[in-house]
Parts: sequence; structure tokens; C-alpha cells
Amino acid sequence: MKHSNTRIPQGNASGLPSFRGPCSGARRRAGRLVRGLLCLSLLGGLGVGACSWSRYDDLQDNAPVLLLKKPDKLKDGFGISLAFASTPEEGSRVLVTGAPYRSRGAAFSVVDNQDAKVDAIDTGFCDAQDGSNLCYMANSVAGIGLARAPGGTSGTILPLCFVLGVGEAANGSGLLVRCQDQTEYALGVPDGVKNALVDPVLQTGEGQALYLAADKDDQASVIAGAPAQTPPLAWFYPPDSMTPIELLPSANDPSYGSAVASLRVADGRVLAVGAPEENHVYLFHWKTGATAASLVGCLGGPERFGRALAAGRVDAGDATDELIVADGVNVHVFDGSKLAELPAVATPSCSLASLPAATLLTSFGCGSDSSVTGCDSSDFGATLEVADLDGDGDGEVIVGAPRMKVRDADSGGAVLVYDAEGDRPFLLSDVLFLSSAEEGDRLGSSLAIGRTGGQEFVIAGAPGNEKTALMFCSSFSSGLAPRCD
Amino acid sequence: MRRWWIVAGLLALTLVWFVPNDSANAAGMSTTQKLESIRRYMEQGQAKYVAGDYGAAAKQFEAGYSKHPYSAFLFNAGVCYQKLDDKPKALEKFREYLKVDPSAPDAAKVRERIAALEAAMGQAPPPVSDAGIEDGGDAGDAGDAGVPEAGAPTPPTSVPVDDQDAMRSLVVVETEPSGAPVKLYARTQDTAPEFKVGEANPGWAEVFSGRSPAEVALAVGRYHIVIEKFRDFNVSQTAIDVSPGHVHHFKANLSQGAFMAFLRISANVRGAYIYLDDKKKQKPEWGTTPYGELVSAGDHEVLVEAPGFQPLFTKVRVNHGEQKELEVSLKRVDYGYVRLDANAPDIRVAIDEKPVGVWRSGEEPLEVQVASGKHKLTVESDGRKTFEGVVTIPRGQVLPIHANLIPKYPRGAAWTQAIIGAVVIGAAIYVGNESNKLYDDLEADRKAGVLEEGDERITRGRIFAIGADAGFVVGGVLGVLSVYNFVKDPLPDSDIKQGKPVEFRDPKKARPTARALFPSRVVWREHEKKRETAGAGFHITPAVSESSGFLMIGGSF
Repeated sequence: MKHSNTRIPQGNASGLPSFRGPCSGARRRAGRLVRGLLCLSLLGGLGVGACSWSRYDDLQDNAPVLLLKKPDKLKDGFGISLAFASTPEEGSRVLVTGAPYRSRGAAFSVVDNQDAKVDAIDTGFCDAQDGSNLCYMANSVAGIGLARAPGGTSGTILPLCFVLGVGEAANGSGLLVRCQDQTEYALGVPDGVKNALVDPVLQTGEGQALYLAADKDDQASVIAGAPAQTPPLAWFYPPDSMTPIELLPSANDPSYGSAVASLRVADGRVLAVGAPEENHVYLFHWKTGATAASLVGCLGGPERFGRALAAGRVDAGDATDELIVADGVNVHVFDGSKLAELPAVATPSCSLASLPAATLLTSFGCGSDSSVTGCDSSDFGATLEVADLDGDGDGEVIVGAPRMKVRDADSGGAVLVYDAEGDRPFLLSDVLFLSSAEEGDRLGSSLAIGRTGGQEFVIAGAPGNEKTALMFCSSFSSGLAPRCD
Repeated sequence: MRRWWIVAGLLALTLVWFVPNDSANAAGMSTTQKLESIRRYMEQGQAKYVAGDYGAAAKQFEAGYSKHPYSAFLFNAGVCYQKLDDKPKALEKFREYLKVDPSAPDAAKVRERIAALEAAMGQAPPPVSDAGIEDGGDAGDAGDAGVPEAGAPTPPTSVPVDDQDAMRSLVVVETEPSGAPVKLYARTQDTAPEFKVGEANPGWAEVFSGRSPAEVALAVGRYHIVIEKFRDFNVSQTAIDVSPGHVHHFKANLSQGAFMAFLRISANVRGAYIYLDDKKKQKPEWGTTPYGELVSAGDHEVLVEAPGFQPLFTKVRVNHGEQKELEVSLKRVDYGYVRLDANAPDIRVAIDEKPVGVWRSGEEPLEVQVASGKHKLTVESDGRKTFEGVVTIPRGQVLPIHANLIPKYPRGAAWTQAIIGAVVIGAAIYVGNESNKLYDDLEADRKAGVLEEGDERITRGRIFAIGADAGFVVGGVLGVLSVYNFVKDPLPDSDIKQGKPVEFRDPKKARPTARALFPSRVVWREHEKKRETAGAGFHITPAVSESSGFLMIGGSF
């Protein structure tokens, strides 16, 4: 992994964060003076270029961050939830949704980071108001590169699909999926969910919390959590399957399903369902081809443990994903391969004590790196993602801190990138934010990882001011993409 | 008690008896002109006679007689013919002489000469009327010098041999007032003492008795003129030595009471003021050069001064009856004046970098005393181009200078352009700096991977850059324009026109009104003191023309 200078929030005399670039102030001032003198020398025919406006064209054309343009059809909350789907053949799409159960979503094309379009190419996600299939957007959505259309194993493979939320399609009601070709179909849900969640929503339009997630395979598995129904329930769709597999906890945790994640392991998936009110994360093991998943453990931790979950290959040593769990303060990285070895248990003890040694790879918080200030009330860990931003094969932990004060903008929000690799288990690698950070942006309220040309990048939502940013570059991605020269 | 003064004038040349009625040619001449004309004929004839050109001398005398019928011309012409041995013509002239002036003092001698000539010609002497010819006594060694002789006419003797003293002169005696009894006495004996009125005066004989004005032809000799008591005027007298071929003019102002000489003062400066015996200038000036007047005989102090010249003081001695010509040479003072005005409403003047004054339109020209020589002159006026140049100040003169100050070419546009240009460039610098700062920030954000496409700072920075460049261009153009307009000056430089140097202003001649309104700034130091005004009843009467060659004495009380 390469490391370079990192832009990080800095404290100032007032305790507010400030940002210092890689260049010293004196050097910048000297540069300005020189440029000012060059401007003054315009009369001598030397200085016109010093104030040339054309240099801004390069900044404009090669800005490392693209803000997606909110379609007019979307109501409030643009950027509350994000999902990314890509296939090598069809390219990539980003789904940006608005407020759950109220707004629709829009898809944007990301062919590569040079040709990313800021205008939506499809705004027909959960477009119930236009008379199409009834749909209510979930709190979080999931992207599937290649999805099997209804029809069992003989069904058509549909590229670039997104699981949107509760809805109905031609094949029935359930979790509505919409693909690139605007095909919509419904994933079946457990009966309890249908009765307690789907039907009421479809009948009354009154939403309930619904969290969706998918793994990072092209033919991804999808996991869903519905903490608001009684009893709370989570379920799982294996890859290329429309049949749900219920994930039943060992205890009646009311917040169960508030966060979900699907880890790719050697023999299938390890499924994590968070119950942050109870500070638990339930672990299930689904083996490929099985029709059920086994409860293999319950992680217990500090307050609000399990409020955000993510899966990704942080450690390049194996082919399994690691589980990233956030509590109220810190982020914890668990070794997915160890979790995959956990035996099935009927009533696991919700703690970390029962875990095999070294299952918890690392834990870190916003304040673990002294160079980061403004962590108080930053909501550090509100969202989590794993991405291989530097292209070295293992991933970095991406942590959203939507309440972080940035550039004197309260709740401007930031995205912190940690290299959780081996000897540097929580090295802060970068802090990303919006150059136009505004108060209340809440950047990092939603996260997704995009991928074009083998390069992964961060997609972050700032729903406070309805922004969604494609953040193509980080401090260590210089030269990896055209925008990151 | 009544005081009386005498003024007497003497002018040389031949004696001619006074003829009451001048010829028509002489009519209309002033006394001075007439005497000058007589003098010219007389002196030219005398000169030719002395030169031996008797014929020309005779013609000159005859011409003089034809214009001024004084008997002296006839006698002198007769002598010339006699020298030419033209006895008939000589006889004709002598006879006409006696006819014209039968009571001439030398009538007897002339008769003798006629008799001698007739005898020499073998002619009987013509009868001589008693009224026309009186016997004349022997004039002693004076020959036929006109001194009267007592007794009957002498028989014809040999024709006398004339020398240059044979010429008669004209003595003109005038008095003021006229009509005074005049008597002339001739010294018949060389050893005779000086004539004294009221005494026996042996060796003296009366040769003329009449009333003034009298014009008498007299031979060479010493005479005494007596103006006898007349009305309530006292007796006046003077002695004269009559020289041949001259005109002697004797004028007596019976009230003067003193005999005078004639002093004429001239200088290289016309109109210079002359103070005679008044070194402290407590009286009005005696006259202005050239000036001549009767003065008392003796030593005199003469002060001559003129504006622009150094005063000259000298002493002169004049003898009784002497015509003294005193010519002085005044030297100019070593400073001059600049008399300056201009076409501007007001100007400030400096000479050799030192301010010397201010002149405003409507005032008299500014006059500044400056040492003679070259000086740097600086003339300034608000809104006009300053003149700087070298002027040469003449000695003792005023150098008139008119400064033509050209208005400064308006620089309002240049200043406006410069100010606007500076403001624009300043704004461009500020905006450009802001643009650079924005660019730096944006570039830093870009390198940090957080710069957004569409960041409003990009647009702002681009606008700033465009604004800065536009500002530099506009400011530069304005700067170039302002420089051009600062340099541009189609108007000529200020200059001066120097007039011909003039003399210092003479405060004595300044108009009173002008002096009252505009006191002269030229101060002729030596004339600053006020002159005493003349006393009532006193005046000087110019008595002689500048070209006069004869002496006049005059005065009044």
C-alpha cells in the first residue's frame, strides 16, 4: 500500500476543525506573491498567463469529486441511501434514493471515472406515483450486478439491478427489484414479513424500517432486515435466488435487523444482523446450496454495537470478507474466515469472549488518530464500507462521520479512510469531504463503493443538502485514475 | 527796496550799425536767427578776407548787406574792393556807407579814405553834406579804425593800407526794457585807464549815443558801453574788446544788477539734469543738457545727473563775458531694471532662483532692479508653463520683457485615466490574487481528492481570473493612455519677448495722475528727494538756441 500526505481535519484555537493542505502557508503565500507580481508584470507582456482562467478548465474537467445532479422528480432526501451495481460487460450504475417510503430513486451511469455522468439516466425507481408498480423505498437499498429474473434457474439474467424496497410487480409483491432494462420483479418474502410488513405497507403506504444489503459479487446475495415488525426479522436471498431464507435470532431483540451484512466466505455466506439497541450482532452461516442458514454466534459489544455493519476483504490473506461492526464510538474488524468457522449454536452467548482467538482483527475510533479532531458528536461509524481504494488487493475501511464539523460547517460530514491492514491495523489514510462543505450536508450518511476499470472509489451521500458525491480519488490514489494525477 | 538785475549778452562778429528796418529777406526772423545769419555772413566774409580772397569776401559782405542792411557790410566790402584795387567800387561802397550811416563813429575816417581814393583816381572830391559826414579826429594808432576825430575833414591823404583788423564788427546793444539811453565810448589812448562813469575819463571818446536797441558798426578796439540811468533803473556798464569781423551782442537787463558770463553745459546724455552751485539739489535743476545760460563770473559747482547714469560733479571757472562750453560724459550705473508683464493673470518672478515679486494683470509692469549682466529669469503662473531663461540686463537701462506664458496642456484626462487605471489595476491585482488563492485552494482540494466538479469556487476563480486579466488589460491600456496624455503636449513652451532697452523712468517727467494711481517702482535714487519749488516771480528764460554760436546773457527778476 502506498501512503502519501493525508488531509485531515485539524483543530484550531476555537476547537473547530480546520484543514491544512500539503503545502505550507508560507510557501503558498510566496507563490501568491510571485503570481501577483507576475500579474503586475502584465504591462510588460509577461503576466497575462499568470492570471489565465484556462487553468480552471483543468480543475473543472478533472475534479476528483462529482456531485450527482438530483433529478427534479425526486423528492426530499436525495442521497439517503446508495447502492452500486456493476458488471464487466454492462458497466456500472449508482442508485441514489430519497427519503424512504416517500421519494423515489435515480440511477446514474458510471462508465469510468472520466465519463461519469452527473445527470440521472433512470428515475423510474419506486415510481409508484406515475402509475407503475407500487413501490416504497427502503431505508437502505442494495445493488446486484447480475440478477436472475423470475423463472427459476431458467430465468433471464438481468444486469445492473437494484433491490429497492417493498413493492409489487407482475410476479407478486415483496421486495421490488428494478434492473437496467427497467424490468421489475418482486423477491418473495417470508410469510411473517409479508403479513407484517409488505401487505400493510402496500395497503396503507405507511412505511416501516427496512434495511437491505448485498455482497460484492456480481451475482450477489441479498440480506434484509425489518426491525420494526413484530417480531423483528431478517432474511436472506442466496445468489441467483428469489427465495428468502429467514434468519431467526436466539432472543427477541427489538432492534434486530437494524443493520445487515453478507460476508463472502469460502463455503457460502456469513450473514450478520445487528440489534444495536441490544448491542448485539447475530451471525448466521449459510452454506452454498443450503435452504437454511444456521445461527453460529452473537457478538456483543459496547453501546450501540452493531448499529452499522459492512463486509469486505480488508485482509488480503484469504478470500473471505471481514465483518466491520460499528458501535457508538469505535469500529471493529472481525476476521471473516474465523467467523465462518464458528459452529452452529442454538443459544449463543452475545459476547466476544466465545470467539476464536484473533477473530477481532482491530478496533479503532475517530479519536484513535490524534491528528483527527472534531470527532465529538461526529456520529463516527454511522455508515461503513470496505473498498480497495489504493488497488493493492486488500480493502480499506471506509467510515462515515456525517456529523463531523468540516471547514467550519457543522455537520458537514466526512468520510474517513482507514487502512486496517496487518501492522497498521487502524492507520488513518485519508479524510474525504466535500470542497463545498456546507452546514448540514451530513456527508457520509450513506456510503457505497463504486468500481470502474478495476479501480474502486467512494460514493457518499450528503442528504442534508441532497448531495451525492462520487469521490474518485484519495490521497493515495494519485496516478491510479485520470482524475487523480 | 527794489532790487534790480542785469543780464548782458555778448556775441562775436563784425560791427554793423543798427538798421531799424530789416530787409524783406530778414523779415520774420527772430532776433536770434537774425543775429545768426548776420554772424554767418560776417564770419565767412572775414575768413575769406583773411585768406586773401578779397573778391569772394566782397561778394559775401555784399550778400550780407543785401539781406541785413547793416553799414558794416558796406564798409567791409569797400575795404575788399580797395584790396582788389577796384577803387571805383571801393568808393561806391564807402560812399554808400556814409550815406547809410552818416553818423557812424568813423565817418571822418571814411571820408578821408574816400578822399584818398579819389585823389588816387584823380577825381575831385564830391561835396559832402554836413548832415551826412562829420569830421573825425585822429584815431591815433588805430588808423581808420573808426575812432572819431575832432575838427574839419582832413584833406585827402594816401589810401590806407588795410590789414585784417580793418574789418568792422557789429555791436548790438539791447536792454530790458528797451528805450534806455545807450552810450559807447572808445578808448582813444592805449594808456587810458579804465572807463568810469561820471568821471572825465581822459583817453576815452564817445562814439555813439542813442537808445536801445542799438546796432553799431565799430572798428577794432576797446570800448565801454554805458546804459545811463533810465527811469528808475540804475546805470549799467561794461567794457568790450571789439575784434574784427564779428558780431557782439550786448543785452542788459536793467534789473539784474550784475554782469554775467555764459556757461553752456552739454553731455553725452541729452536731457540730463544740471544743478549749478546746488550740490545738495535743494533747488530745481538749473537746466537739462544741453543748456546754456548767463551765469555770474567766477567758480561754479556743476552737478549733472540723469536717470540710469552715475551723477557727475565738477567745478568750472568762467570769466566775465566768457562763453564757456563744458562737455561732460556720464557713465551708466552698473545695474538695470527688468520691466516685466505677461499675458497671464498673475505671475511670480524669480531672478537667479530668488523670488523678486509678483505681478498681476492690471498693474503696472513689475520692475525689479538687477545688477547688469546675465541672469536666470524664472516666470511662473498657475496653470501655465513656467518660463526659464537667461536675460542680459543692460547697464542703467530698463529691459522690457513680456512673458508669453502658455497654458499648461490639460492633464485632467491623463489623471483620470491614471487614477482609473490604477484603481482598475489595483482591483485586478486584488481579484487576481483572490483568483490565485482560490486556485491554490482548489488545487489543494483536487490533490486531496475532495474537489467537486462544479465547485462554485471554480466558477468564481475563473471569473476572478478573467476579471483580473481584463482589469490588467484595461488598466494597462489606461496606463499607456495616461502616460501618453501626460507626455503629450501640443502647445509650445512659454517664452518671452524682450523689447529694446529703454532709459530709466524719469520721475520728474512722470505724469502726476499716473504716479498717483500707479506709483512708479523705478526709483531713481538720486531724485527721490523732493525738489524745492521755485520762488514766486523767479523764472529762467532759455536765451540761446542749442546751435547758437554767439553769446547771450539774460535774466530777469
